[in-house]
This record gives sequence, structure tokens and C-alpha cells, in this order.
Amino acid sequence: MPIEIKAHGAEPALPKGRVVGIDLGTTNSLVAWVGDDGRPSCVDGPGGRLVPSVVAFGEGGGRMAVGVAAADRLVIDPDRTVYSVKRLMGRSAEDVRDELKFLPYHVLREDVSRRTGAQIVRIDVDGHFFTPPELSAMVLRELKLRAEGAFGEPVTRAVITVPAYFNDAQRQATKDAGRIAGLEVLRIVNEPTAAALAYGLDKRHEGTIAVYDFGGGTFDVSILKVNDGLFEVLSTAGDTHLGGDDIDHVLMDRVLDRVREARGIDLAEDREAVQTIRKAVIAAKCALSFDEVTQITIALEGRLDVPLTLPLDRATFDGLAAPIIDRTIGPCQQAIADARLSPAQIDEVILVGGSTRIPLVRRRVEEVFGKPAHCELDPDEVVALGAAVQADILTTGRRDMLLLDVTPLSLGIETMGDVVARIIHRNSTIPASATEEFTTWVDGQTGVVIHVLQGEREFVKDCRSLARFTIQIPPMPAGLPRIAVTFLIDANGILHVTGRDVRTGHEHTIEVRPSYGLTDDEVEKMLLDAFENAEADLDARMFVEARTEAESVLAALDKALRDTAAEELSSIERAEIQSRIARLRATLEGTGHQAVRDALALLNRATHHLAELMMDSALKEALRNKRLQAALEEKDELDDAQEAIASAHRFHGLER
Amino acid sequence: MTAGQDHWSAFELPRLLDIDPAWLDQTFRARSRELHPDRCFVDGPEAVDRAMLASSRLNDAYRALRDPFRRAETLLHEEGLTTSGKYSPPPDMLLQVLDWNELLDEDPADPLTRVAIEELSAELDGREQADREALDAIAQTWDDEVKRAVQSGGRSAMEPERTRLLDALRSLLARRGYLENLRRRAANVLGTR
Repeated sequence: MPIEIKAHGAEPALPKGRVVGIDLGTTNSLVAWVGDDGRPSCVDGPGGRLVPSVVAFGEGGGRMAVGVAAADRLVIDPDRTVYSVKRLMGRSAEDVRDELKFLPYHVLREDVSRRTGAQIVRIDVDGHFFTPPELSAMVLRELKLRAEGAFGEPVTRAVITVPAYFNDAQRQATKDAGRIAGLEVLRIVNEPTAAALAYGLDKRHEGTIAVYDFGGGTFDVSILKVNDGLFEVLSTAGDTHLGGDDIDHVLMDRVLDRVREARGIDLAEDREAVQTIRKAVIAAKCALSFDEVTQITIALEGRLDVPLTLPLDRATFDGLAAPIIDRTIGPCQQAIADARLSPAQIDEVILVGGSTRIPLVRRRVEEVFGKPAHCELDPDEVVALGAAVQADILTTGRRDMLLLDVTPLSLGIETMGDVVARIIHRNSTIPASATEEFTTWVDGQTGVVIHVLQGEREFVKDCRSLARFTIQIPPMPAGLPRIAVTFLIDANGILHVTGRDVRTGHEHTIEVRPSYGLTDDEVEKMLLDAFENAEADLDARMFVEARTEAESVLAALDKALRDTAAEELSSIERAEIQSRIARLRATLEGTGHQAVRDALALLNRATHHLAELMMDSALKEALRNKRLQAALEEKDELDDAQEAIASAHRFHGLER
Repeated sequence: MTAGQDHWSAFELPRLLDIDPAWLDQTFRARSRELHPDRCFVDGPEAVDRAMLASSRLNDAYRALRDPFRRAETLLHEEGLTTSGKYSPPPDMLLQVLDWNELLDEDPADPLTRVAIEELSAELDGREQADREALDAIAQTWDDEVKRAVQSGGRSAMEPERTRLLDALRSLLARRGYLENLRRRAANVLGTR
């Protein structure tokens, strides 16, 4: 739930063990930690340090895979492959209506908690409903496993980053996701601030710095004063719905238009085609960060059997992306003005987020701030590194570093005429508090309703509703009760509400009803579900791994059987291999990983001779060529031979 | 904030109006290093809760005292007085501000209007400077009173002077609040902001 009433009691002292920093991104996520040398680093894994923030489900909503393995299924099974969940965190169905046209898992349903009236969206996968925090928890669990694998010990505590411009409900949803994943979230840190921490480790980066953070789905800009280990955020601005995704969408629209013009077919409703196009335009976008010209090639079985190739040069790309990139300029100017500075007074600019690789973004940033930007640290990794540093600051107490962050949005309460009275202004250093006194208007009134909102607009309807609650008051003459309500935004940017009876000095119990998100009970239940499903999850995961391996073996074997070396196989051997291939394929239709492994082992035994033949012929070929060819080309030939041997190993390398 | 603790007490100051900004910044940073919850995270949740309250009090006080006009508003509030709000025109300038409001509603694309708004903008800039000087003057007298009271260990003997200063402060803030709104509108119309 987005509002936490003081809940700390006699909690046990902090357990030992490593604490990680997690960048839970729209497109990719990373986990980092600080080693004994005091330097942060990202935990590596299969497919690199980035873990795609993607969850793929099997038929019937069974969990299949997270991360790299899930990302592979985006094109094959778009209906059941969930990505960009971060865009849905802490939001209602109405909020996200515009997003839906780009999300293939478009079945979203709004749920309103009967008990609290809180709204939350759910994603429907074959009749199974998942909330955004649950889906994010699956990504977090993957990162947790990755870290545990690297450290060889359990990881139970984390610092997680969020866009600086996230509101209370979005922050709370992120915290809930952590809890569901079995992680105690020590702190929610703003992404640009985390990036500044990573840069600020070495004292070269001191003074006034601007962090320009343009990621897959969100844009943030923060201005900080960094001095002697103190990181003081002066202002922050941004847009939680502006990112590289938006550029992809423009490019996708263009491709869809061209397909319509050139081939007369409309693929906009074809989810598989849309995902294929999405993949192709992302590749083109990335290529244009280095090359002046590239091409987008789309081939789709049954729809575009003759591939369609569209050239795209950087100037055209810039023209398409400019309207989106230009939307980052307003927040930059706002942040500079809110910090009461001029661009010239900003000493350094730091680039964060994959979208800052786009040359036009760099040019625009340079124009706004009047100086070139820094990007020595990998823009994809810097936020996770900073989160790890903050985790280290919190748990070791050994660093002389301190972060003073701000709240991005003003906090207000509803007053007469649907007007919002602001009680904590945006860019206030957190923790921040405000106390308001409430009384009754009529004799015998037993309750005062308080509606808490977040936002910069004047009217209730234009601000974000955070919570409603009623202060219970024993019947008394009007104006006699005096209840002081304190609104405190903690260091995570999350609101806490406490009440006090001014006349008696007693604590006043307030039950806060959040407007969006999950209740504590719901989070608890999801946590239990996650534990109960942990074994099933592990099985599903092992199945995916076995299937991936089987598919690559089958592909390599298919190629090998068409090789000349295979001609030497006897017909019995050939039949044996074929029957074992069929058996392996059959196991892939099921769900048990053990069956796949067994079938693989059998196939492996059957292909032993074929592998030998392949290696033999590859070596013979190499030797023959070596004699014939000039010494200059020797190396290439040997490489070919090695490649052939490796290829043989690929379908027969399972005995290891 | 509990009774007897105003924003000045977070900096161990009496209710002064003239505070050296460099000193305030420096003290804020030093106290943040002592009080921030991150500094006592290892001591457990109760220590963090206490630090949360202490550091929010420091942050709130810093915000209330950092800007001299905001500080003056805080003083009025602590002294139990309210300002009339930024939307009521100052009585002694009523006719003038009515003209100005009318001018700002006109079409700025008209060159003559634009020139007039530019003149108004300059006029308002000048008044803002004058208001700062007026605040400085009040602050000097007020602070002398406060210091005298602190030295003599009690309230100022000159109660009427105290009331006069607070009244002056109140009308200054009301006028400035209104004029700042106009100044902002003029800047918006001219597109300089």
C-alpha cells in the first residue's frame, strides 16, 4: 500500500550477508555489489550483465522464463511474453490506456480492492492474472538468483532504484515487488542520484552536476551539488513516460506504413509481426549510433516471404526521433531554473541510460547545458553501480558519503472547492514533513475526511490521488477537537501519516486507504504464493534451460546430417538418430526438464559415430588444404577446421 | 514540531531575520551529516525512525529559513500572524495594479503593448529590489531588538516597536507577494521565463 503508518517494532537486528544494488529498468535490469576493495561492479551472467526485464509464460499462464531466455520468446509468443512492466507500476488502467496499443499482452483488467477501494491493473495470461509488482518481482528474483550464484550465499537485502520522477504509488509498488521477491528493500534511490554517486566515488566529479538520464521508458534530469562526499540534490524533473521505447514506436509506425504501401498488407494487428518489426527497428536504432546509414529488413513467413528492406540514414532517423528527444529539453530547463542556476553554472553533465548513446541526444544535451557531457561509465551500468554504493553506505557505515535527495512532486490536501492546498513543495529535501491541524465544522461530527494528493496542479482532478482517510473523532461541539496530522515523506520518497490529539497529546490512530496499489495483506499473500511456487518456478526454469540446449543441439545436428561426412553413416545408425531426434522433440512438447535431459543423453549416444566422422573429415580436409595452399592462408584453414570440430562438438558435446 | 520548537531552534538560533546564507548552508550540511537516517542505519529501525524525525525537522527548518522572504513569512506565522495572501491587491496601490493587470491581458503581439509590458517588467524588477532593501531595514531593527531581548534574558521591553515591525513586515510581504505574481505573468507574456 502506498501509505505506511509507522510500522517498525522490535525487528531483529540486520542480518549479515551481502547487500546488492539493483537497477530495475524498463527494458533491462542489473544487479551490482561493492567488493572488499570498495569498488562497485555489476554481477555478470549468461548473456552479459544486462538482464532483459521480460517474463515469458507458458501455455495456461505457467511460468517459463525470465531475462535472456524470456526475451527470445518475444517474437515467438508475444501474447504470453510480458515486457516494459515498469510502465505499469503503481498505475491504474485508465493511466495506461495509451500504452496498451504497443503492448502485445494487451489484456489488462482493472481490479478495485473491495476492502480499500485501491485500484490496480492486472495482466491476463491465459486466465491467470498478475499485478505489475508480481511481474517485477519475477525479474528481481532472477537478479537475486544471479547474485546468489555469484556469491555462493543467500542475498536478502537490496537497494532498488526508481526514476526520480516516480510518484508515491510507483515507489511503493517497487518496494512491494522487492518484498514479493523475498528482498528486504533497504532503500529506494532515485536513478539519476545513484548515477551521481557512482561518478562521485572519485573526487574529480565535484561541484554542480547535472544528470541526464534517458532510458528505455523514462526520462529524468537531476541537478546536484557534490562536495566532500555530500550529494545534495537541488532539483529534479522528468517524465515517467518518455524513453527510447517511444522512438521505437515512431520507427515501427513508419515500417508498418511502408509495408502497407509496398505490399498492401496491414500488420498493425499482427502481434508476432509487430514484435519482429520492433526487434528490427531497435537493431537499426542501435546501428545508427555508430553508422551513418543502415537498413531495416523484415521477413515474415506467410506475410512477407519476400523480405522487405528499408534503408534508414541518420538524418532521417534524427528527423523522426527529434520530436521525442526535444521533449527532454523542457524538464532540463525546469530543473536548472528550480535549482536557481543558469546552464553556465553547471560544471559537469553526466549521461545515463541506453538512449543517451544516440548522437542527436548528445548534441541536444550539449546545446542545453553548453558543454559536452561525460560518459566514462557505461550508461547502462552506472545506476546499478550507484545503487550498490548506496547499499554499502547504509550497511557498512564506513563511507564518508551522504545523499540528500528531494521529493519530485508536491504533496497537497484537498480543500474546499476541489482545490489542492500544497503542504510540501516539490524539490524539498527529504525526509520532509508538514503538520496540519484539523477540526470539526458541526456539533457532534465524528469524522474528518482527508484526501492526500501529489502533483503540481491546482485542482484535485488534475493531481494524483494518493490516499483518503478519515480521522475518527468522539462527538464534541464544533471546533473543539484539534487533531494535528503530520505528513512525512521519508528518505525513500514514500509518505507516512501520523496523527496527534493536540489537546490531550495522545497519538491518534489513522487508517490510511491508498488510492492505487496493493494492500499489505495482498503483498503478504503474494509473498507466500511466491514461496509456494518457488519449486514449480525452479522446474519451469530448468525446463527452459534444457529446451534451449536441445534446440541448439537439434539445429547443429540438422546441419551435420546434411554434411558429406554423414554419408558414411549406416542406414541403421541413421534410423537410430532419427528416432531419437523424434523422441527429443516429443519431450519438448511436455514440461518436464528431466525427460528432455534423458532424451538428449540418448541422442548424444546415437550421434557418437557421426561426431567422429565429422571431426575426421574436417581434419582431413584441413590437412589436404594445408598441403595445397600457400602458407599465408594456413591460419584461415586451421580456423575452418577448428570451426568444423567445434560444430561437431556442438551436437555432441554433452558428455562434459 | 512540538511546542516550544520553532524552525530557528533547529539551528539553535533566536528568531532572527538576518541570517548569513553561507553560515546557514554550512550548518545545514554539517547537521545533516549528524542527523540523517542513513548515518545510523546499522543501529536498527528505531534509531532510523528517530533520525527520520530529527532530519526532517532540520530539512523543514532549512527550507523555511533559507530565503529571506520565506523566513519573514515563517516569522509572521510563528508570531501567530497571517499574511493576507498573494491574491489581494495591496490597498495603497489598488488603482495602479488594476491598470497593470489590464495591460497584461492585452495582446502582447501588438508592438506598443509589448513595449509597455517591457516597461512594466522593469518597473516591477525595480520594486522587487526596493522590497529587498525594505526587508533588510526591518530585519536590522528586528534583530537588534531580538538580540537585546536575548541579552537581557527576557522579552523586549519595547512591545509597541515589536508590533510596528511585524505590521510593517506583514504589509511588505503582502505587497511583494502580489507584485511577484505580476512579475511572473509579465515574464511569461514576454517569454523570458
